[in-house]
Amino acid sequence: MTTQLPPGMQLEKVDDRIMTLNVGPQHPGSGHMRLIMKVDGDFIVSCDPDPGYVHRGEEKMAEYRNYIQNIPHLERPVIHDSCNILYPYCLAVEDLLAIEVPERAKYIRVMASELNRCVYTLYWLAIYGIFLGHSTMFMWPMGDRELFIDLLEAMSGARVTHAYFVPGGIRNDIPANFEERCLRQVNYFEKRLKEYEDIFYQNPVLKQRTEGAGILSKIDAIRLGTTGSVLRASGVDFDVRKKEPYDVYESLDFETQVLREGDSYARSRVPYLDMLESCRIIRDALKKMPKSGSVRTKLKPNPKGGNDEAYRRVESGRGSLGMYIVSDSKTEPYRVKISVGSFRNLICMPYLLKGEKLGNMPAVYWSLNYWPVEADR
Amino acid sequence: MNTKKEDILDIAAYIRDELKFDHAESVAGVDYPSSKEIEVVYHLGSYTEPQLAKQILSLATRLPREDVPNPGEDRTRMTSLRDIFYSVEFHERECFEMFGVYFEGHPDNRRLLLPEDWADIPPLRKDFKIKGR
Repeated sequence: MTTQLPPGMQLEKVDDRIMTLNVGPQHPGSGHMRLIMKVDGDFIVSCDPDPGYVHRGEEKMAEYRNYIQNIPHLERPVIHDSCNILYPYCLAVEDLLAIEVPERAKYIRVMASELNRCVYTLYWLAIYGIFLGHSTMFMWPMGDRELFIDLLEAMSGARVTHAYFVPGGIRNDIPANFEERCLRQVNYFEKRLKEYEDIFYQNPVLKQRTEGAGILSKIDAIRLGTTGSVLRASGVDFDVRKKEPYDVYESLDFETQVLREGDSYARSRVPYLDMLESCRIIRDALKKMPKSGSVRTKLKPNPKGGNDEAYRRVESGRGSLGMYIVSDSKTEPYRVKISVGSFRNLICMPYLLKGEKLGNMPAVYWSLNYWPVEADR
Repeated sequence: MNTKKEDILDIAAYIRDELKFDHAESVAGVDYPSSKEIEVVYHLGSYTEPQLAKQILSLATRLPREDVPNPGEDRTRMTSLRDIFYSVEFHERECFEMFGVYFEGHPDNRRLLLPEDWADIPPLRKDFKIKGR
């Protein structure tokens, strides 16, 4: 009796040397995804990533809601970076509806997105720390993350799911004492980052575990179409904020952080260097921001796009994040495609883990800055 | 840029070799049931050529669409661009399960995000309705 089982559920011939190991989907080392690994003793022979455990059909849901109703649910794939995932959506809808954004709103958007980048990166850093057995690096970022959450809460009223960006600007203006408070916390955080450097990045144990683990060459990084910190750790100078500046990034003072090593250590260091740049951007934006003015262009009720399409991208905490919106003159978008950094970086997992020791799996996996919920959408 | 599906491999090779676009940012399917077509849109970018960093090239092709899809067996199929742009591998797998577009020559036409026992039509086609809506 041979009944055809659905793909992925077939039984496999058992080898006496190679063992198949399922890491995940509940394993704390993998996040909500499964890595089907074949191991020979301690070494990984092959790795087949199996995402989809947190697939929620965001793209389908977006076709049923109008442009404004889409805002709160489109940020769900990555709630720690909700400003950055709404950013390309707002930019694309502004293109479709031909809306001008007030100058002050542009600066506040940039600040909110940089604060949110720090929130995300600190969360990621905490997990990276704990999986390498460094529990101080779990506590510190989790604690310092609250500073930025407080700032974003003052801006938007919500701790995590802000839904702060709307097509045409931002939902509401920042509170009166915000600038001073923001500056104080950024100054404090920059001092803290120096301590992170000493306790974590200069730690010989961390260096030993991550240096040389999972090397991605520059050519491969380009060929595999990686993005964000993975790409920049392999020596490719590409940051959407610099290369295709949106809103006011052109006028702000910051640099793209590029490292050449391409190993897990470099990949874990690029987001850290990015946080230092974020502090610079926030400080500069606070200085250059118009002190008063409108923050939101009023939209018509139930706005409609023409028969048009738009693709816009921004640099999120995990790399370039693009939104492709097709409109057919209705109040709902015809199709929304979210192209996320995590999904694009997923492809390097089989390449980086092959031949690596099983014990190095968390060091390599988490250095990819992979967020399963975002990749599944 | 819109192409016929027969020419897409040559055009993609031209885009890579002559225009120096080197990776795919996204592969999006768009379903048009009224004209019985499915459009596949590749968004291509370049890391190596500094002048192109600002550009996104969208390469689109339209495929015939059958009302009762049977992924892998129907006429909704095109040549995979994986040999040209290596980075489309997972994007094409996603497009395969979400729209039932079969990519010929793709080494790994398996489900990616959907459950293994998914037995309905591809969910991002327009005739798949969300329950209760």
